[in-house]
Amino acid sequence: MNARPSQILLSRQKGFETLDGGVRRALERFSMREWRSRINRLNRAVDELGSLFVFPQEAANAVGPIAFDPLPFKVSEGEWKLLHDGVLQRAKAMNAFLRDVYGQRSFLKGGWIPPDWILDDPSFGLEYANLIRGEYPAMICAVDLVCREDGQWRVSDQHFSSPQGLSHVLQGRRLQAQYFPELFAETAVEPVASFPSRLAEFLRLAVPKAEFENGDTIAVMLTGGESNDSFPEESFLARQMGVPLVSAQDLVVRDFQVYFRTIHGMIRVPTIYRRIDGEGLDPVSGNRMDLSGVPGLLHCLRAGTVDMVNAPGAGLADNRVFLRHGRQIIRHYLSESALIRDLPTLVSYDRDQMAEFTDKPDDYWVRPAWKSSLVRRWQRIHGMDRSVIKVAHPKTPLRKVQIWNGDSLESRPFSLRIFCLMGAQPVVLPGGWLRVNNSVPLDDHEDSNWLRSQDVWVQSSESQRSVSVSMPLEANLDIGENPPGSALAESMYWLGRYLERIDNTARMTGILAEDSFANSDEDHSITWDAFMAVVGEQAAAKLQPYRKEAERFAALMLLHAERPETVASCIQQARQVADRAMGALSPEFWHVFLQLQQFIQPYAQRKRLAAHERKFVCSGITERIATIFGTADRTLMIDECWRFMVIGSLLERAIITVNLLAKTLPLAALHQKWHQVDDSELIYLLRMTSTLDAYHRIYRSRAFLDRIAHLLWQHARTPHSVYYCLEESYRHVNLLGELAPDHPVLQKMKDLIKQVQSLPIAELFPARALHLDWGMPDAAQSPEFSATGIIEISQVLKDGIEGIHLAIDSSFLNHEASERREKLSIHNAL
Amino acid sequence: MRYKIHHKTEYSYQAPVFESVGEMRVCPLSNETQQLQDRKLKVFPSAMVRAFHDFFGNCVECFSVPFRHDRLVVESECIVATSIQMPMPEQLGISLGEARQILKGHRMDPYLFSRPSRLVPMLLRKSINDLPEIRSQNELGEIIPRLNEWIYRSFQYRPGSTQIETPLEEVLRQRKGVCQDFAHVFLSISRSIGLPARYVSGYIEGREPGEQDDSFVGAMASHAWVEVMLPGGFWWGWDPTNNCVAGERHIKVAVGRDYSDVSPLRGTYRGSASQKLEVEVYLERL
Repeated sequence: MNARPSQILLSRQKGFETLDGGVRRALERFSMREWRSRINRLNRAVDELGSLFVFPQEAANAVGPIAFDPLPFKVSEGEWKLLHDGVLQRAKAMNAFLRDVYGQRSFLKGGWIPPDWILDDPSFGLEYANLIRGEYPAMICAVDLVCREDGQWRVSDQHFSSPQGLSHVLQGRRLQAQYFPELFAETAVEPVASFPSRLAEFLRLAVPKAEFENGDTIAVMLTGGESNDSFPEESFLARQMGVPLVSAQDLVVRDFQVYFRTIHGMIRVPTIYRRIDGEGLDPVSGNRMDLSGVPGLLHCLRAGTVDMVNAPGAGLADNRVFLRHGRQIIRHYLSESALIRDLPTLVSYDRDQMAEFTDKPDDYWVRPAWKSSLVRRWQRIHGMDRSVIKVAHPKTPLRKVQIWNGDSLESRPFSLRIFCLMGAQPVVLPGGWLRVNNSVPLDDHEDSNWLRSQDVWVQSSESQRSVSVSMPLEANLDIGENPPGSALAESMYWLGRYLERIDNTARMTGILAEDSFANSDEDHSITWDAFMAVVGEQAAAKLQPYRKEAERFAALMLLHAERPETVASCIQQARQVADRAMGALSPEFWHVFLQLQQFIQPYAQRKRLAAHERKFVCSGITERIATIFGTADRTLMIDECWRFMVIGSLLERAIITVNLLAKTLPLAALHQKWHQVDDSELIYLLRMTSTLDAYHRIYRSRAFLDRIAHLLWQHARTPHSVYYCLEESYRHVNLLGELAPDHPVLQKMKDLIKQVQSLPIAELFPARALHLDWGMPDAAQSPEFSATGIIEISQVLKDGIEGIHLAIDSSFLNHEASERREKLSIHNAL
Repeated sequence: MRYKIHHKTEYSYQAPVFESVGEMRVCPLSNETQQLQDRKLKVFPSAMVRAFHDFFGNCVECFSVPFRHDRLVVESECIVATSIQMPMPEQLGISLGEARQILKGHRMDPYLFSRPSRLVPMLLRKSINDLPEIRSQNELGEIIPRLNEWIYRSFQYRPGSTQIETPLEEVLRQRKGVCQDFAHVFLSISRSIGLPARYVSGYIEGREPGEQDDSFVGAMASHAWVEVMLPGGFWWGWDPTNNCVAGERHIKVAVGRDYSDVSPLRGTYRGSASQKLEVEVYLERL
């Protein structure tokens, strides 16, 4: 009779007896059903973490999130001592090597490292020479190890530029403890969770003490951005470390100091934890063509006003050709013999060595000398056909670990990454990132498709443990909320503006493309001119010929992305800023935003739109914009970034209304005289600002100029009125934080609001609706409309809003310095 | 000789720009054959300036102008005394083959100058069919002047015929260019025969006092020539644009692998405006 699953024990599995004693005893009582249900829950948790478990550097060959294996890998105390000391020795020696490469270059005298190895390396830069201060250019280091079958550990990779994978170690431990707590019963395991705080502490230690007394400063983590493979790890670490995550456009250099641009001003940055390649740091220094990075950053490093962890150029030590000489490097700089040797390595620089491994491809593991990201960049610059330097390691049988493959236990070769922090008292993370694959556990090898990772346990004796717990790990760590960076706020602001612009342009185009407008006998020049005033002079000239061709006019205005004033172009622009604001946007927002893009996609190539299509496209766009704003309000964090989007949209709306009125009112005033002119133009105007309904509700009359002026300039409850937009944006700006009442933005807004409130409508429009009660006056007595007055006021409003935009830009977004210093000339004593 | 040199670089922008950051290599070197005796640097709009020495030993002055400006002017004024130093006859008597052996060391410098660089690829000598024959038994004192003269005779000096980024292959095809291209062609051939060579940027006195016409070209702006390393570590300067040895009328500002290492002013600014560049070099013998 077959046993029920609840009765089959895990311990009946083949290979179970080879598991570590403590783990084995804990699992002995597990039924298969219990075991599987735990693993299901574990897998669900990994899925929820999602992209956090994608291999960062190696994402090019990894598919989807990496699985987490329920079985831990245990390192005995004795073995850990060797790994601990060996990794520290390695990190010390490579740091000395880096100092030497960028300083005296004493190693070249030995002759065993040809200059080409250095000069070819994409991470090496002559501009980093004599830039390194301090003993440890690579403060955070990691070393990859494999273990031979005979138990000998070998170094298979070194990470001195910006080691990746810490998040996997920390998340792995959490998952392990959460889903299999009983495995810890018999073993005292060294904790790993405090490592990010240690890292944050080390960053602070790297800064001279005087810096702290010098007012507000903040250490930052410099990332390549949301689109990078390693971004999930970075955002996790930044959160754990309590430092803001910034990209190059968040940083700015003033007078040889680096600042973080936040919406609450500029905060000086004394330390940068670098997570991007050295080459993308500074477009000014160095022999390069692209413009990424922070202009002047290297000047600041040289001036010593900012410290960078790890130093630029440290990536040189990641070059795998140096695995050939690890032992010599340790001997040369430390006069010690290597505690852990390297995998034997052949390099393609040497013809004989290359012939050896190309002749016998079955005997060697071959891979590029540089990390895959560097190879990609190098090939982008030098062309794909340039052959890349390669290294090869003789194949050797490797020690394996037991994994659960979903059905049974099996053993696989592995690679173990160990992290350490260098300083006066170096720290090795007691644990590591263990990765398992089918055959060859080497990064960038063709067969290195990583399958899963395991938690690494370093056994701790109780005495050691109590020492590490009593250390004041997070004593001086303030994990407060950091102010949002200006770059993000700026993207949100422009996102709001572009979305609003899309809405308005689509609505107005829809009206102008109506047959009744285009084919009308009336001239409707006021409506047309008003629209032109909104889209701009240059665009207006180009559009003029299509005025009576609604099907072409609509296609042009809606679909032609190459012209900046069109809806399609605004959608593209909105997409660009949205990409940059990814950190503040919700998945729901993206969903509806992408729907907007997809909506006009089928029409992209069209030269003409039929009447029903015009109507369908225009109303489809405005409906989707409403959905986008609604989704934003319901799903985004109601924080400062969201407020910037709202402020952007309100200001854009105010600008459009002001521009529209600036053109319409003077013309209409001249035409209208005693209200004898047909009011259809005024109706168009109300429809273009979607206030026709509001007008009817309020006045229950036909359209009169003075009423429209009042409604769109001054009305407090019409969403398109200038007053409403200003009041609302004032409210949001006021909520941005503790702004002084005389803050320039608030001040400018208050002034303009006051001006709008006191606009002399009665004087400007003497022939007011009320006068009609008096009957038709004598033409000779008709009061003169003052078009000049309206024009002047419109100009004041235009300038006022432009002033508010500039004030927002310089106070919150760009912090552009406006004060000129005293004239200064420099005599250069050399 | 003693010179007073005035070098003005002016960028004007169509609309105001801000956050200009730049580094300049316009301060002449001081060494055995040249002394910088006085120096004034003006940056407008006024900005903080700091100086450092780069990998090649050049003086680099950097600045940043954070606020809005529509014009950026850098004026460098200096007084430099020059003298000439010739290589020893025995250095010139060394054959190319011997020189290669001696120079094949493990030092990064001069090794750095025997490798191709960004603007100077290694050209195949065979691809230039009219290049004078160079054999390894030829003496350096004969090869280097011959190469210099060949470039002078085979290429036309034609301002405006090339841009900074014009590939060297294109220069070779059209056989015309400016001093920078002449120098790059020299470097490429010199490096390909195994002689380390570096790019020199600087100034040249075009006309002797009292002369009617310019005897040298290149005086209107920054000039460029080359230096070849001879065994023993002597850098021998040659000017292929003027078919001569670089002498007392050449004032060295900076050295590098090619133009891109020593461009007089490189930098970035924020703003969408297009820019116009004007350079003015004025040199006066004292």
